[in-house]
Amino acid sequence: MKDDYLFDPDATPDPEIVRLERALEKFRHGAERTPSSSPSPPPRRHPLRWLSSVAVAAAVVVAAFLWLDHGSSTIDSPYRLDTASVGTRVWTKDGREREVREGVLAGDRIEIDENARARLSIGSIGSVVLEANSSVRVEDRGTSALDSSPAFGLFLERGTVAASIFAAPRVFQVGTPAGIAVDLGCIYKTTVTDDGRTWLSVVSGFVSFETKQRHVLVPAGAECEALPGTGPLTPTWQDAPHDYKDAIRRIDLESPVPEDALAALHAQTDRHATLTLWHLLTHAERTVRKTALDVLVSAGHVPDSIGLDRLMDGDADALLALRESFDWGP
Amino acid sequence: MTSPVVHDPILLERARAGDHAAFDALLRRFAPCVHGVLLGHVPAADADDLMQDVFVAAWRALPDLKDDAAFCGWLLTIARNRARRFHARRRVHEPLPADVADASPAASAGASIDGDEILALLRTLPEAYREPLMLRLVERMSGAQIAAATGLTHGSVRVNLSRGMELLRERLRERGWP
Repeated sequence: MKDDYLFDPDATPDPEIVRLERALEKFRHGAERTPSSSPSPPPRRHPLRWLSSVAVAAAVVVAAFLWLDHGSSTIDSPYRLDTASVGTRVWTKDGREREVREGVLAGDRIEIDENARARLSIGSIGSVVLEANSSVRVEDRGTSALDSSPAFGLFLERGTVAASIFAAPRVFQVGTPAGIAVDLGCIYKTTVTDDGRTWLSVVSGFVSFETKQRHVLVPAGAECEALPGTGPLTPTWQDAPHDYKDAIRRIDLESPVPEDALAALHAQTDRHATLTLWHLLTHAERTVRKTALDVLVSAGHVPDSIGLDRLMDGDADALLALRESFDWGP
Repeated sequence: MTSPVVHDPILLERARAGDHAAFDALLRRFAPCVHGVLLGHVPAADADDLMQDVFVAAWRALPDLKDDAAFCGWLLTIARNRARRFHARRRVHEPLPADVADASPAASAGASIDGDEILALLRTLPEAYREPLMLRLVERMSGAQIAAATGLTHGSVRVNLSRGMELLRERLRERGWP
């Protein structure tokens, strides 16, 4: 029957459709991730795609020459710019500009201008979208502390990156001026402003946002702000009321802690609120810890088996046991 | 052959409950399908970026999905909406990409036609033909898999593939495809 092969690829092949399939093979999902022994980078990364048709027509001869000239020098690196629009620039450690199609090495800085966007593949663990007005340094992290598998990292100097990472915990991290977002296997977005303030929002999985002084856990649906010199503030759910978020921020940053901000803790007592309240159990001020614990206890969120005194004293085992009794922690 | 587009209530339930591994499994299963639909709307270089947006949006909205059996159709609707938003943004900020701008019949009539041009021609087809042809010719899905993914009957998919292919042949011949 006519077009049988078109409906059923197991039928007798139609030579015309087979030609079309072959010509379109390079666009197939995952085709660009297949390591190739060919020195030529895959066409989907061709930077000319982003130019106007007139510019392409004018530049095609020169571009083809450059392509061949640099094709054999593509560097071996787990970091790879899969797509990069005009306005993406790569700088080496010693300040030399690297051709985007060459690849990216640890130590390089990737800069994205106001009209550009790029996607950086990271080994086989996932990718990171670098949004407009971003500057990212690619880090050499050697191997994972847990085993000998490679570890990966970026340092976000400014701008926004959206990471989709499917790997063991702590294999990938995003450093920022205000702390390090350690991937626990998830999708999340990190934004750094020019003054180093950082926002982290998590879509799936968990991120541990860390400095030497404080670790906070940010699960899917939550967000966290971090400040240079201060580190991560207490995480809240993204859909929490604005007033509540504002109160938590004031509890973290103002001393003495404003009473009206402390009172706001009583406004959110459902199981959802345990994320924020649990983090406040390690707050520097005893008043804050006491209020957070009172809210948790009165709402019935603390199992009888966990001693309240131990929680007030910041006992790590007690805090861990409490966290594990909630359903937002890893 | 692409992994079958099979409704999996257990994976969906686990993903809805926040199980990241289950969502990852769903993502891998449906990625070619989403990619094929996006390719019908946006330049190839942007389809991968938009896939991420689609899955992020899907993850967020998953608790609102009422009918698990409609998951793939729901996912493809998100993909089409994201593609439309992409074009709305692009009209403000960027020139038309080369692989779309060169799709006019006179652009390279008589020349040999490569994959980029075929892809651009596919995008000029009506959406009813474009999507099934993308899924079939690019993602190598069978007609039965396309039907399962889009919710169309096998007969409708066969007709759309066939009519779309006829239109594509016409346009290829106008451009010198032997």
